[in-house]
Amino acid sequence: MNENRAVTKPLAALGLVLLALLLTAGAPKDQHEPKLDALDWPVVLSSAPSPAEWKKAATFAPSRRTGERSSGCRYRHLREWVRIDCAALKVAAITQLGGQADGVSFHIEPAGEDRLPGAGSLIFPLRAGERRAFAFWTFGEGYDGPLTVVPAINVQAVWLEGAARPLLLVSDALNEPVPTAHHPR
Amino acid sequence: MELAGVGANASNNRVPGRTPPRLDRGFWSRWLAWLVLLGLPSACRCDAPAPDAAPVASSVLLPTASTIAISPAATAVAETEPFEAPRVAVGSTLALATDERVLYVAAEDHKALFTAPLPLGSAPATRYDLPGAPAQLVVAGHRLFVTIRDPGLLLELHTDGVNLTEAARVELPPDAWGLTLTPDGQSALTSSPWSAKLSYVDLTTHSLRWSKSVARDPRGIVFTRGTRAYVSHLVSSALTRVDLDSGAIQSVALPAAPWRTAPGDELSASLGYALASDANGERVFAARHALGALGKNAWFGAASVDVLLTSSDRPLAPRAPSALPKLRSALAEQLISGADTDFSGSSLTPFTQPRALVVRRSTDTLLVAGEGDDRIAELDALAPDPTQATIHEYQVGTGYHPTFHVARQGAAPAGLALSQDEKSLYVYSRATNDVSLVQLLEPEAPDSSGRSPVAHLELAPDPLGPFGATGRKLFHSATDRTISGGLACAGCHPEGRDDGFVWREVTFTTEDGENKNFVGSARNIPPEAHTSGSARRTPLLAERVGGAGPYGWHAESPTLVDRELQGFRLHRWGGQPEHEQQTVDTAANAIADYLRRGLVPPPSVPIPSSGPIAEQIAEGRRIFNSRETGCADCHLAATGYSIWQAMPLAVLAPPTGFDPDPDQNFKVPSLRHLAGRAPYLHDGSAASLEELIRINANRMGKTSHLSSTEQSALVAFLQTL
Repeated sequence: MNENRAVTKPLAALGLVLLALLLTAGAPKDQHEPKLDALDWPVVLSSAPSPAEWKKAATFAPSRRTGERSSGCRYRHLREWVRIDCAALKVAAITQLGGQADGVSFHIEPAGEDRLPGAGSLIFPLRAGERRAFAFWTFGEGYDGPLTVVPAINVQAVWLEGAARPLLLVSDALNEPVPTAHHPR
Repeated sequence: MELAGVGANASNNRVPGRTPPRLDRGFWSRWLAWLVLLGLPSACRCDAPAPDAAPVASSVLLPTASTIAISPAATAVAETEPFEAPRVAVGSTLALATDERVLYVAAEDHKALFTAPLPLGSAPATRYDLPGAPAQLVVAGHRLFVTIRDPGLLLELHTDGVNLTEAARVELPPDAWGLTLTPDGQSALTSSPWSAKLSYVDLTTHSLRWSKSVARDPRGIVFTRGTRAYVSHLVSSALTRVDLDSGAIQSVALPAAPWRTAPGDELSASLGYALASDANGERVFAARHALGALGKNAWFGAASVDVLLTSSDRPLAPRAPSALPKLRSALAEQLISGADTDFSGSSLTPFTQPRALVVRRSTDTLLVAGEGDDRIAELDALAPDPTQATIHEYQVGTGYHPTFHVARQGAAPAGLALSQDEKSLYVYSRATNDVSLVQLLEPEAPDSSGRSPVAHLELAPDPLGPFGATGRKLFHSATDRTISGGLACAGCHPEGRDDGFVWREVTFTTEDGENKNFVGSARNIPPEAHTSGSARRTPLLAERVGGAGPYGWHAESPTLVDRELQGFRLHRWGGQPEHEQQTVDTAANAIADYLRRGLVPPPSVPIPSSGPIAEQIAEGRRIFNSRETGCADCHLAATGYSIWQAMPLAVLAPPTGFDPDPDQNFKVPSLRHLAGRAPYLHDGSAASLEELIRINANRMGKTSHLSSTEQSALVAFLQTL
């Protein structure tokens, strides 16, 4: 009996852990993080944080985030710098679509055994008066077959002159190609 | 004048707690109407207007079969009643009554105003015929203000909760369309697209303070800071700024879709019907179509919502100064080439052919009606580029036809009205003349439920009958990929007019093989094609497609239907999908029926009967018909100012950035409705009629011998056609 109890206790604990994981798997990573709107965003001009500094950086939730794909990303800030890591996404590319380009850096994990690239990271400063727009791209069905490079997540950052704090807006990108003979809508 | 409910709906228009329309009064109105028609002196004359005011027209009988409508315009009453500020001051095709018990709809194709009791579908709609086609309306308490296109009017109607009564009317320049009230509700600013005029109306005296000329095709109007207003234009990206206090008018640059634009370029726009502002008037949102916006296979550009900061009159989204950074994975580098990831354009924007726009202030979101895909897109109003921050999408179109893929309900949304709690959205769809109720989601809600309308109400059947109605839907719909390559006919021919844009006709190879297509920018053309394409300035269609044929730039299509079939192939990326020819032929015939019977021509330009302008026009007519110029030899009045055949013309150097046209035999175009549709010539190289005559020399007819006075006279005549 005692042995049985000794076996069932860890199993029950494991079950609870698995259940908890299952229940939280669909929950956005930033659900319980402080929103950017609640932060005192610093008005500084500092150099980009080092990798060691990023490990200690605080997480936060964007001002507004919509969509499933972007819920799998992690949002961190340090001084006036923002880092977005999208680990759940097979990142085909990261591009800047608009705004100032200074201080912007990207990283994509090399391909694994499945030949698909891994996670992607985006780092940029968010300073007064700036507007920036970025896109994370992934692979999906499209003009070039199942491995078409398609937009996945759009990121827009804006700090209007005179505003108390910046805005970080993250949303899933639409992927609805222009219809052609070979690719209906 | 009382506008009583009419038609079959009137007798059963019962809402709990209300009385039906007072048909007894309508009975006497009908009798009085007949007396007026018989020529008896009317007792309905209004007082003479003040010397410096536009005349308030007398009441007239509304000439419809079943309409009851007559009584004096009660201007005196209107002047003494207190003004109630409108909850929504920006005009739309539909508006909610202040108590949200009734919805008012301006149904342009029916020349009528409909009232729909709420909840939607609880009772049929009631129709009130109007003196012309209405465009926009605003509700302020018991007052309704409606613009009428032709004749140009601003009507003030009063409602007692059941019936409508005309209180006053103010004459406006022809084609009155946009309407917005000042925040205090005491004045209105209106736009007249075909006349290219803005008009400032004093609603306390029902007089026109001024009408001023602005750039082509002014449409949506929104007030921001006090008496400052912004105006959109259907065929340009720039807005017009109006300061009512000073009367100053100036153009404000707002390039379209800057984040879908190559560095150094600047895009124009079309379909600029709608403007809105945030609660503080700090941002103005302009929904339109960015011509030449880039993206993979984006032959027609992209829909856009561009944001103007009113503190500086600068765009919120700055243009890209140069190439921006990007990083591609090794696999992506193998799979793609060129600039495929430089612009977020490998997908369409979340709506096609923007037609209406409202701000949902409680959620900081925008609701945009997509005429082409029967959708409402909810976008982030805080974003510099809202089209790249989609919150939700709501499909208004339902019951799609299995063959033609057009909606039976909710086709071509054209107007939006938000409930006061901003949880319900009423959508007027013009191609099906119905209203849909959409329950809006909260921004953070999963985008999985509540996306379709919860109620529909058809206001009245299409006056064109079933075949013309199908043509109307097909003309506006971009959802059938056999006839549309992602943009409907109405995308380039809004209201059957034109987008003022010069497209490129070009042959290049795609995965579908070699095809001749239209594209909006030379950057859309694959570099290996080594061509920039021939210039094709969009033609106006309304009242210019009545002839048997031929059609096409070089008269290559024997009939209008043949031209449409050719258009189905041209206006897309690559080749036309496999299809049943009979189905496509039927679609083309339905569209042709709509083009000929359903399109409303622009209003005629008033021609004075005497005086110097009349004399100038007469002189211009003489010059046009003279043997020396020979204009009338090809532009024959009896056949719509065209002889419907191609004529050889001297080579015209192509505009910068275009290739020469390989064929210099151009079909003689009709000259109907020239005045409001600059630029001119097949390549848009003449910015005005004056320039066209000046540069023509002896290329088309002979005009090189004309003096400047004679040229002006010829232009004056051409503007009357």
